[in-house]
Amino acid sequence: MDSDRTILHVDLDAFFVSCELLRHPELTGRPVVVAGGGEPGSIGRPSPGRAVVSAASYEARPLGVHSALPLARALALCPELVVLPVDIRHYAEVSEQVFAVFHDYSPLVEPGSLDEAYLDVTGSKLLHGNGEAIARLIQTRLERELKLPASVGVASSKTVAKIASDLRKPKGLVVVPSGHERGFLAPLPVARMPGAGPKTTSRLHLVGIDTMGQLARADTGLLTEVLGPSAAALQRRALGEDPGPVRVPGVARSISREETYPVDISLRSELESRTRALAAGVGQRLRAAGLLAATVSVKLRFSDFETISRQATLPRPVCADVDLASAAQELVARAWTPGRTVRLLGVGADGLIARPAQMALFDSGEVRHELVDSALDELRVRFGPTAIIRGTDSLQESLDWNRDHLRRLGPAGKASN
Amino acid sequence: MKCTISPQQLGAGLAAVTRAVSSRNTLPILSNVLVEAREGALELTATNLDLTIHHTMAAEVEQPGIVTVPARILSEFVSSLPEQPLSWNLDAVHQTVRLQSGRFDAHVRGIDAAEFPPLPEVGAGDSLELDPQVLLRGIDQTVIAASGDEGRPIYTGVLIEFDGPEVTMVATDGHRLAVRVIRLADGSPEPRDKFGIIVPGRALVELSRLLKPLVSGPASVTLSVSESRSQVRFQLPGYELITRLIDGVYPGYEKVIPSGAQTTVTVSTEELRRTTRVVSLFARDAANVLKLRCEPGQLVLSANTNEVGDNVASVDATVDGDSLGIAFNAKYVSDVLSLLDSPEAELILNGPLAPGLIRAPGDDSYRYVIMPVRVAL
Repeated sequence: MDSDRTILHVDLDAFFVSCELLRHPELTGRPVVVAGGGEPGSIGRPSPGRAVVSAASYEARPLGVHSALPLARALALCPELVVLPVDIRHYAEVSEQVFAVFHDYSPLVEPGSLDEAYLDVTGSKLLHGNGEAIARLIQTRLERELKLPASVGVASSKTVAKIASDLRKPKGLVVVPSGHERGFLAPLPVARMPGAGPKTTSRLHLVGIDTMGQLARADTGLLTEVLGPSAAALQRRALGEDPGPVRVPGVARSISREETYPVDISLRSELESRTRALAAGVGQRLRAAGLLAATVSVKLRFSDFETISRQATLPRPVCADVDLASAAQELVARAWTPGRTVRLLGVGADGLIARPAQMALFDSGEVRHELVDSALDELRVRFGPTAIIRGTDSLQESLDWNRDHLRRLGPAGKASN
Repeated sequence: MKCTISPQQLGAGLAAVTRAVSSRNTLPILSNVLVEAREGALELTATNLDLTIHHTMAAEVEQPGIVTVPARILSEFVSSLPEQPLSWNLDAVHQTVRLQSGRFDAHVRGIDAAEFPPLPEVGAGDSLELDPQVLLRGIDQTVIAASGDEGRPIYTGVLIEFDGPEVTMVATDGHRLAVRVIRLADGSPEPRDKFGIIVPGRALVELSRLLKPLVSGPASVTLSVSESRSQVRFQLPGYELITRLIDGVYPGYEKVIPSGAQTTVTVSTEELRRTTRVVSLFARDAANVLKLRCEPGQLVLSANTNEVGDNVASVDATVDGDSLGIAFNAKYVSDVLSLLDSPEAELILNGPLAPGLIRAPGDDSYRYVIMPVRVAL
């Protein structure tokens, strides 16, 4: 590993809330959350329904309000909570300005999401000073130009930089000098490690491992028994060793869509048509980006919040709706048992490769599907997602359409703002 | 075995037959060429078990005999000799050939001819005659569309269909298709039934080398197919080429040849060829995409790659029907333009995602179909 490598992990603090405060400065200092539901841009309380908190201001957090909390619970904890609907389009616009700042300091920027990124500034140090100096420059510019607070971790690897950025939020700056990674990580709980979820941490806890120092010192054989083949890599990361490069996205690495339903799904037929609709959404994005997916995944969250993910590698990479849908439906069928009710459904495409644009002369089935899909895509782009639907989707989609339509018409006098 | 021969003549014969010698074969005997001296003639045979090339040449034979010798060393030695008679003497006990010419005196160790695989039996199937130059043109115009990918053997071959006096040659790599219709030579017997064979493209490339020096006319090519339809033999003056046929079902190519014509473009073959070559300098990435826009009175060609830049050029054209944008692999387009015999080329298109047809205007004896590349036009 390159010991001179300097990597920044920049993580904006309560990004969605910060974005909302930019256009609603009067709310500064109050407990604010952004949550699903309602009309974009409006102030007020979207019907709690199934909404969950997407982001909470630092004023709301001491009251126990955090992201992923059902909105109803958040309101119970904090009745004076200001609830704003999620407006991803606005956040994406702000995010673009944030990334423009990142790109002033390095061309090697790997976005984690709208509000976080890794920057490899190894080659920028002559121009802008050391990692810490660059981190301060970025924090100052984000604060001054965009009024956005951010926390930054500076280290020799992505893993350590990410852990560092998370350590002193908000507005934190944690620098881990090269060579001090192991000592820095040792006292931290294992749960701080990106990728170590509750399952991993509880298994490690059972064998007496709670800190990264203990993880680093543990017997690799024992770890492999407890965690499986990924144990060795996890242990190396606990030692501060992570050679993973900052990857500039050429193409997306995965595309997915998921939906939380207002009413849990209990019927197989509905599950199938919802899956097909999600797969079509994924397919449309794949085709728009000129990509094929080698792997299809599904995610089901049941009413008891148990979440199951399943994925399958396809015989050949695809982008046609029918191919994605049939693979996804098969995975859903395996994950679901009759009687269980599903709260959230997701369909994803991974292993994305650029679509070989050369069409085949003899595989006419493929060509036919693509012609249908491209015609559907065009109509959806021009007239909206429900402009045209497959006969097999019609029942569910038309119900959705009616609901959306009624909601849009709404009772008079309730215009937003 | 004892004979005298001209090194130039032997060198030329060896160069032709050793093209059947595989550079990576497992049997040592297949690296050798079989040399047989008969009365007045020397015969050379080389094979890789799929393809066999046999050559007969005049020689002064004192004593008949047969042996195999390493093809490569013999070929290189003979072609380096000055033009002086070469004497060939086989010491049959040691299977060693003594080669003497001028001041050179070499001994080459051979392998007993009995170990050499026998020539495939072609027997008494159909036997048809073709004009060498007509066959040569047919091969050139089709084999270019065959694939080199051994993973799909059918696509590496050329389908040759016989129906009465008509012979249809077809090749495709799955992205483009070339169909050439020729006729049997005048006076040739006609096939008993309609039938088709799939000949490895590689064998036809070798055959085309042998055909090139032959002139049209009486020097015809005899094509014989074994009764089992597993081998085909081409006999031409001095040479015989026998190849195993590819077994399998050829894709239904007629279905993909466009029948409609939403847009018909007529353009100078030479001008389009030149413009395509220049524009496609800018299409040199993996996809090699050449975009065509058909507008009233002209065909606009363009290409761009991130690394290189872009290039746009137009060619005067007669465009009938809808204006249209379509993209093709530039190589597929330039390949056919170098093989069209007519001064004008006709492009028949049916939308950006449907196969395009290129031919001489109104002439179906050579049809070349290209599947487009899907791009944002």
